[in-house]
Amino acid sequence: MDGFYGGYGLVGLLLLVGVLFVTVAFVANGLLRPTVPGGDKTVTYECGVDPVGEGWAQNHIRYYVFAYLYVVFAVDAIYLFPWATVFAAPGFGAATLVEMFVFIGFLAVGLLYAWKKGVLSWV
Amino acid sequence: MPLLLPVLLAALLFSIGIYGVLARRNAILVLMAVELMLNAVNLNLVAFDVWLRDRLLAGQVFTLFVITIAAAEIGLGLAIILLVFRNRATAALDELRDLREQDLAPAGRLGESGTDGGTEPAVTS
Amino acid sequence: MTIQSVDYLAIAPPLAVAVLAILVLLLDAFLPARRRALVGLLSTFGLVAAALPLLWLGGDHRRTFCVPATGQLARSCSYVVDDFTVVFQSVVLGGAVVVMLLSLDTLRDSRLPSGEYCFLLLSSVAGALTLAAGRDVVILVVALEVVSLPAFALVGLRRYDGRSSEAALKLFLVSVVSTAVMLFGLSLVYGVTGQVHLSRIAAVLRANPDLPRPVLVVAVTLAIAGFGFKVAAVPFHFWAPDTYEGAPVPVAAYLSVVSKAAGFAGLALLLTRGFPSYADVWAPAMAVLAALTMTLGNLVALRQSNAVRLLAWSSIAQSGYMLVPLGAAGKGAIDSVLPATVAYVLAYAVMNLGAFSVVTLVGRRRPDNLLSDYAGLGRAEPLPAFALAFALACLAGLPPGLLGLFAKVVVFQAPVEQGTGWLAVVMAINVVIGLYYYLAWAARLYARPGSAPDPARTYRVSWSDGLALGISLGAALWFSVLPRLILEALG
Repeated sequence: MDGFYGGYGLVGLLLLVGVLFVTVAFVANGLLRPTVPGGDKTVTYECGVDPVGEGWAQNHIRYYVFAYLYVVFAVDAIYLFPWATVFAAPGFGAATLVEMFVFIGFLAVGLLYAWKKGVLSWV
Repeated sequence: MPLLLPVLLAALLFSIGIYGVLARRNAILVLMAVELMLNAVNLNLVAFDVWLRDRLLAGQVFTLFVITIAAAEIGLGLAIILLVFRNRATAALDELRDLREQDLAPAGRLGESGTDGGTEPAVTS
Repeated sequence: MTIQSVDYLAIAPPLAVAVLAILVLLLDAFLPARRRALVGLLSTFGLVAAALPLLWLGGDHRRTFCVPATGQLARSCSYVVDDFTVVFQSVVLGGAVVVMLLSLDTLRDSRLPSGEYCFLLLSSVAGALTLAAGRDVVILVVALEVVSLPAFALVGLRRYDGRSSEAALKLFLVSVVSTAVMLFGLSLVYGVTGQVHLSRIAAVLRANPDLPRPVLVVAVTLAIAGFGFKVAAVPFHFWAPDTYEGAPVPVAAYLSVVSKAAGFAGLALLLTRGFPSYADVWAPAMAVLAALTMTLGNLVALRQSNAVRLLAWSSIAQSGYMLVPLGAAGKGAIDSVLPATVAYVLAYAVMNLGAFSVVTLVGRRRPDNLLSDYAGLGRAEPLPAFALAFALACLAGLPPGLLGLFAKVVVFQAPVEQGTGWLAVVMAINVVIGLYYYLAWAARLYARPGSAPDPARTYRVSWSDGLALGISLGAALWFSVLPRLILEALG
């Protein structure tokens, strides 16, 4: 249990124990319980309330724009991390700070455009 | 760090992606397969970066750019698929046949040529 | 480690275009709707202005964004301006100006959103300019994507036209798949060499012959696939006719000239600067690609009845000619093949823009743009008809079009000198096949029209279309008179 794969071995062992535990519990359960199918038992149980409608739900396409804006900022934020590791180091300083704000400024232009075109308002 | 496992995993991911691209006929699923391929690239780059102990961290920097490219592609791709869906009410690639090599009436051609033009892959029915 | 200074003159052309793109985006958002026409004019003049720094950069050798020398590896730079860069940037900017001029009327007459159109076109141009100067794999990939992504949107910009979105989807899917394949190849190159700068990859490959060769062969093959799509080489070509047909005609012109030139710049850089010691691997592959591309392109072009589709297949065939010098590159002859490819790309850009200008013009009155619409154009509109006939003669490589003839001779020399005779034979046969459809089209222009000319046949040529036509025809004539200029530009 040492070396590079030692840690993974432990995880694998735990996984195996988990799977075994669930399998044994379910098999024992299935063997011991009486089986009387039918009626209300097939209905999905939702805290006592009868389920309404289909299980298949679609999100409205309006969410796409917001999801995409989120992705844009999440992805662009990754460029801040390498920058954050160096900008305080000697030899970098103010110019590096300004450069990052130029970068963020470009993002802001995109957001400004989206706002001006009315993409951000919920119709 | 042993290099074999991550590279093997990356190759596997890439192969699954290729299979998805070739076998799937729904545009969104093809897009997802492409994402698998790009993630295989990322895994490769990060693994090589650590293995090489690259002082410039070129592999990791490259990975950041690949992630960005993937996000941009997905955003634009979903928008285009949406557009196709609005115009055609389908995202099935096989049904997009408006633009393809037409079999023309002889009068429409440049002139009668005996040469067979060959078939155009993927778009001819 | 300290912050590096940036050579702003070296990066001026792409930087200017990128800033212009942002400006256009803001203007589009904040200008009142009736002033939107300004955006197109501003973009056109901005592109001309962005070409001005090239006057200073010509003949210069500048480099920026460098990493210092380490161990045996010399200092190496990500962004280099040399003759190659300047020539390709001139092609890109010149092509972009003509496309922009052709777009002005399209934007006015159609429901295309002009602000978005100009922004996307400028962004793509900025990518193409960067690609020509990039000397490191990361910049090449990012620039290639910056060329491609706005192009997808441009093709699909006619939002209510199903054909337009279909064209965009086809272009998009083929492009992203080939990008992913190329990236996988490049990740393997990085893994084997540990470098991303082209010059350093070449140096490591030269210094260590014991590197795992099979991995590198696979890597180079995968990397070629990505650029093969961009230049519409044969296994990756089938997006081209569909996309050109579905897109607005100026966008098709952009794809076939600027985006293709950028693809060739990337391919040539990657192969000749990054893998010169693997020329024995990629040169035969390029030779086969070249032969397949020109043959299939020419044969299918014979059957076309739509002008844009014909030009699409012809541009595939022309890609084949451009690949010939790369296919003939042997070890030690790398440097001599590059100018031949560049010369052909330059000549192709000029003559194809000439053809697309007239096709755009005819398409304004006749949206179907069938070849039969061109019958008798020589009587109705002598000057555009002459421009088209001249461009077609150039593309065919027939004597009045000396530019095309000269470019073909330059390309033809490479396989003859390097001993790949079969490629020269294939190319010669293809030039003859090409003669047929180019000349058949040119002959239609001057044929007696079957029926009486209808009023729609008189085209009222606007100043912007006229200027675009004049620039491309002028350049074609100029280079036909002084063809040596093309090779001299490369030293």
